[in-house]
Amino acid sequence: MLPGLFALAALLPWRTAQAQMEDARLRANVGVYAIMLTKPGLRGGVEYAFIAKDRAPRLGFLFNNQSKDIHTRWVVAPQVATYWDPLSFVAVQGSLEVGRSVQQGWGLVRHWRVGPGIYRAFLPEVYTVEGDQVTFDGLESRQYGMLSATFGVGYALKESIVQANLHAMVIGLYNATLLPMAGVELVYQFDPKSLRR
Amino acid sequence: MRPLVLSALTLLLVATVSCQSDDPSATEDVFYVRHNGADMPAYVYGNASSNTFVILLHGGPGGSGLEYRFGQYSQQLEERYAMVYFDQRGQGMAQGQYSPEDITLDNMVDDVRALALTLKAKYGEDISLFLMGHSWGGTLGTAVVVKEDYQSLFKGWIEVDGAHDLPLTYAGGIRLFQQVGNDQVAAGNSPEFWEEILERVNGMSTNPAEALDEDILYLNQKGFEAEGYLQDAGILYSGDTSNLGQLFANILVYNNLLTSFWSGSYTNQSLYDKGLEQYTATPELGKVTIPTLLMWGRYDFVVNPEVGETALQALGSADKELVYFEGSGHSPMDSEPALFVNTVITFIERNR
Repeated sequence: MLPGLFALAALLPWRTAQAQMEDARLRANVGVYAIMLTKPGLRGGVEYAFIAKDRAPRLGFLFNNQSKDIHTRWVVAPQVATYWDPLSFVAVQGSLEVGRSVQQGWGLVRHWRVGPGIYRAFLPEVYTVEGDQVTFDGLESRQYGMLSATFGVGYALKESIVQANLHAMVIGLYNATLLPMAGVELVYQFDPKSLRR
Repeated sequence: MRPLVLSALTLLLVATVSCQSDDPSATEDVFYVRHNGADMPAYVYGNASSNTFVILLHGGPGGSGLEYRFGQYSQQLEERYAMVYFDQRGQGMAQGQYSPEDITLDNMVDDVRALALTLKAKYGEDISLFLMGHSWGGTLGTAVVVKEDYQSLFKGWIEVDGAHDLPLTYAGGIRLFQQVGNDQVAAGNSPEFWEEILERVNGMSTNPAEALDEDILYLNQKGFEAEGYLQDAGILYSGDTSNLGQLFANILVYNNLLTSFWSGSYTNQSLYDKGLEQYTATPELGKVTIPTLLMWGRYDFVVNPEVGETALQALGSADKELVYFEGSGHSPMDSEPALFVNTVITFIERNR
């Protein structure tokens, strides 16, 4: 009985902070990123909930209490990312994803987002050849359209959520066709207001 | 914020391209050739102070330049010359925006010329350029040296098991399977494997116009399998396993495996949709007057030695030579690297 009460007491500030996190319509996220596991990168952005609602779980009396509601958010999420090829180029991506995240009362978060974006490849040393003429252009870039999708799971900590995501993209027209690409990311999501607290 | 982003981007780019060695003769340089809608990377490794550059055209279609940077042969050639590993249009890490109609052999030929012009603009008009192509790279390289005056850019052409005559690649492949298959069955070496092949190839027409797509694919696949059985029989040397870490890094880290596979497969299919299987440069080989070195694995079922023999007869070059690698299949640089390097160096030193 006594240890149970101590454990409950220890959870109280956590639950309060978690509730603040759940209340935050706007969340920020930063993460590390690896395209095909071998190309390192960074990803970040914000996530704004245009619909947020709580509902009690249907799992029975044992889990059915106010602090363990299921929290559902429909979000719009502008994201930017960059990754670099160790030898030849740097890519910068921007996307506007829309999706849904569901947070279980005990902390598990499942989410998905999908949306359009742009993919820009920066090439460090480019020579343009037209006929017999060779022109040194130096740093050049090429921009593509992109469809971006993020799927993942996370776990709610005291004032943040850590996520492991799969980021899939279809880029086009790239070499006259559509190019699939995928990466994994580890993301730290937080309430930006918490930075001022 | 903007200066911060620009600074970060600059740092990344500097880190990306600053793989320079302290040794000025050991060039590690990456640049892109932008031509006809494509951005194609060229990776330059080796001794640029030799003023001799060897452009290596990869196989496929669908391969990549850095797949060829492994083992003793590339290491030893880089000690002597600058090796230029080039990702062709729609393959490897090449990117760009163009229509499917732009994926043609002729456009790729012009891309190689664009690379040669770029190397001269970057490293000096006085550099000696050699063109080397393996397998599909032999198709492409031959198409380069027979077009207009493009061969004048190069001091020599080196073809390694190159498929510049695809109808003969098919018909000669059947004949080689029949000959070697019968010999192996008689010798009792893996008879089940060879009998199965003999049964299939004996039913194929040797008329290339009647070749079925599935037969062409079968010959290609079994060609690589057969090399394994001939290695087991002690007839072929096994591959060069030195520096495998470099090969894995080139394929997995410096390439994007999914991009390379996806783009390469699309490019391959586009070329075959446009009738690549009927391509032959043999009638035009008389136009080639630059020194030419042909190197062939004696047991290359993928691009059989008949292709090299007819090329030797047809070439217009005064300096031409066909060197066989008796213990090799499709990739003599891999199975007999010492002989390969010596042969290439002798040829280049004679002509640079």
